[in-house]
Amino acid sequence: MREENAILDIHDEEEHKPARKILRGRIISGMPLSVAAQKRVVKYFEELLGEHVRLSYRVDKTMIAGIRVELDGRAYDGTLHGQLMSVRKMLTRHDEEEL
Amino acid sequence: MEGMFNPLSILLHVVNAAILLVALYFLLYKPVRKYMNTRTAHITKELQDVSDAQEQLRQEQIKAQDELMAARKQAAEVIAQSVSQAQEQAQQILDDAHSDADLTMKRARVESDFLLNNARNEMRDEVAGLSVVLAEKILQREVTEADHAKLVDDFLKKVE
Repeated sequence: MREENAILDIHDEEEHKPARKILRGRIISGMPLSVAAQKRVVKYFEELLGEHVRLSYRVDKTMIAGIRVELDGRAYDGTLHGQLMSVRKMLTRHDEEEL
Repeated sequence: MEGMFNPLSILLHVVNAAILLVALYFLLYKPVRKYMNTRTAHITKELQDVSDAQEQLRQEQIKAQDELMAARKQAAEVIAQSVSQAQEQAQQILDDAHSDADLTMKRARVESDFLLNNARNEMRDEVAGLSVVLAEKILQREVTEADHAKLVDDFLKKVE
């Protein structure tokens, strides 16, 4: 089940600062994420990347829990689903030398 | 008894006998002797011919024996050579067969190792997949909002 929210833009609450470019992305959450938490995520990435960030938000229950942020061509995965996929990848890694 | 001892008669008998002897000599003895000589020469010649023939036969026998021995020797050599060649060919065939068998075994071993590894990997993949699916189902049931909030916090601390 997905919930599409309006693009979260924390700059509605701040004075307009035209100097930096705007990076657009999205937050995919396994469980509902509060607006405050969403703003936290946006602010964090703005500080990390030094640019304005605008993130859409949706809930995807297949992620189970945690969030995944897709921004500027990169994906930052902190979901349980992502961790399980990493574990699965590690378990199914086939050593070339075995062959 | 006057006629019993007449010298003239005796002489005549002697002359008669002499003439008879001479006649016998020329008419009988000489021809017979000539015939006998001829016959002897003929027989001698025939004996010589026989002897020569026997010698020739002996020589030919010796020659034939020599040729027979040479032929037997050559045959033995040919046989020995054929046997040796046949043995070499047999050994070569055997070696080739062993080599093929070894190659086949090696290929079979490599194939079986490959198949075994593939099967092992497939099984591992399946088990991993099932484990992840099971874990997902359990987590979906058990995870709380507090866990979700903690995950978000941890995510923001770790991401870079």
